[in-house]
Amino acid sequence: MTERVAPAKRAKSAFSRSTFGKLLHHRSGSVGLVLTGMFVTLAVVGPWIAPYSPSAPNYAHLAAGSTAEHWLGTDAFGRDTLSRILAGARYSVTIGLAATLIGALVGGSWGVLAGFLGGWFDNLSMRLVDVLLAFPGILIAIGLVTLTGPGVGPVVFASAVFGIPVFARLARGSTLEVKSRAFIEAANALGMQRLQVMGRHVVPQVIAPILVYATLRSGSTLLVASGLSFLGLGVQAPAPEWGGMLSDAQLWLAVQPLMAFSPGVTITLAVLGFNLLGDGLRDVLDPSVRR
Amino acid sequence: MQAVPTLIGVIILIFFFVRALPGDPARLYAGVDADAATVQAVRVQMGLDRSLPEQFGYFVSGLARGDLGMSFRARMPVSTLLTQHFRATLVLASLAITVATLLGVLLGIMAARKRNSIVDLGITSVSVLGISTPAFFLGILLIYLFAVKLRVLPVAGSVSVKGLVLPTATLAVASLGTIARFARSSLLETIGNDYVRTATAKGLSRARVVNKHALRNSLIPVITIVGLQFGFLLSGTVIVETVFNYHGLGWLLIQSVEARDYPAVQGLMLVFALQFIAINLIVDVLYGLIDPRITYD
Repeated sequence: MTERVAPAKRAKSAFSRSTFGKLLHHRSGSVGLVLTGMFVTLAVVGPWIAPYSPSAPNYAHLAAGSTAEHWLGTDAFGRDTLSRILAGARYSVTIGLAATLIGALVGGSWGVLAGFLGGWFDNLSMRLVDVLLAFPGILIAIGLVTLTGPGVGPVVFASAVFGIPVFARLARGSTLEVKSRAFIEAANALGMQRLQVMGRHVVPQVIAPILVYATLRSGSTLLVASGLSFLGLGVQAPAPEWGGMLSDAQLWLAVQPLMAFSPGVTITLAVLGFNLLGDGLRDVLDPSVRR
Repeated sequence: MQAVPTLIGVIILIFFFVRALPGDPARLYAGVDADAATVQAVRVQMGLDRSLPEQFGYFVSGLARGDLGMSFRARMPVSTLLTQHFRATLVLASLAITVATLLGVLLGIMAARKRNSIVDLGITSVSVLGISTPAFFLGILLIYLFAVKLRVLPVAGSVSVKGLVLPTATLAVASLGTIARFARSSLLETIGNDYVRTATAKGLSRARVVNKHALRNSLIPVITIVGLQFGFLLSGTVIVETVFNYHGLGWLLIQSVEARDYPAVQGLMLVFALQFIAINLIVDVLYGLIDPRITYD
């Protein structure tokens, strides 16, 4: 057991140390790292540092602009927008990250299995992936929430499924590449069990590209999840989810544009952070790809 | 020809979509007040009392006749509903992909030619920002600027020149960014090839090398991205049409989901998937026409 864990651990920490240093010297990667770090921190501490309660109405200050007490103004119920954005990080960022991780885990395992086992299972899996990809972008998520109804759980589920076919295809490709290498042949020749070969030699090689892609994908998952809430199919009021806040603010656009701009800019910055970090990671880990 | 198994898979998935619903579709259609006899009559009429394989047979033969069932909400055939809203989405999506492709390729080329310059940095940054901005925020921003402040364009979209400007711009931006980034990297990659170096070595001017030798070849992979982007653009119509209250297929999808109008949702999902499969097919054929090295068996 220890024998199995130790090399993987060592490889992983070497991977993250050098990658981290290179990222800091990568122009857009470092910006992405800072933004992502900020939003992930907010997801944890946001509700605690919010100056007001995100749900307490204040009928003396309805749809107010920026003031000394309310930096980002208030919404139609007089609730402090800054507090709602801070508290909402726990919804929006957590949902985006959880959905991406579930998608990467399920899709990744599926892809590794398909690539490793080959044969009819691989064929069937890739046909199914094609079918799922025929419903591009937010469509597959909308189809799923139609079945489940709105709520936090359904949004995580629907946004996770949005990622599964893409991760499956990526993991399968990487697995096929690893499978053709000499050390796999050597492991087979040594008489290792097939599952052992997969777990010990294939999976560790496939994890890095999946992680990079998961970072890049977190941005679009966040867009899909907040899009569902914007459409009224996701997280429901009064929860301070950013997409839902923007949807509520739309009616008040002529009266108080700050109500819409604040959550809008917040979502954009969060997505931008993940996209820049993903781009940076890809550049640092694979300098041959110039994008 | 990957399209055929994908198409069959999509039809099977959509067939099971309605069967996976919580609750009884017959009761939903008949309404909550209907008595047992009415619900049973609807069930027989919809063919829901038969076995699954039989139902699937009816579903497929219905599809072949263009029969997608009745919409719960609109009380008319889903196919009629779809044809009513199809044109609006087709106009919007075609305009947006045209704008995104032309501008995206142009910006990509400009960035690649002036690699690492301030122009390149500007175009690359704007592209990433475009990809990262949610369409629902961009739409609201444009409405505020052009409809509320400047009052030059209408708030709601419609199939008219003025009504199409803001929805088209909103829908095009994300794809524009992706296409620009891809065109840039593709051109840079082509410039690194041996035959381009040869062209430079024999004394051709830089402009001539790029225009005559690199550009054409670098644009071939861009076609794939444009095809893919068309699919994402179609799914983007859902958000953009909702923001601008533009009555196309995307707007209809959200109305149908909210009304739990399952036959309409089913028909719409099918139409969206069919469009995407058709686009991929067209891209494959185009690819073969433009690059004679690629053949399909």
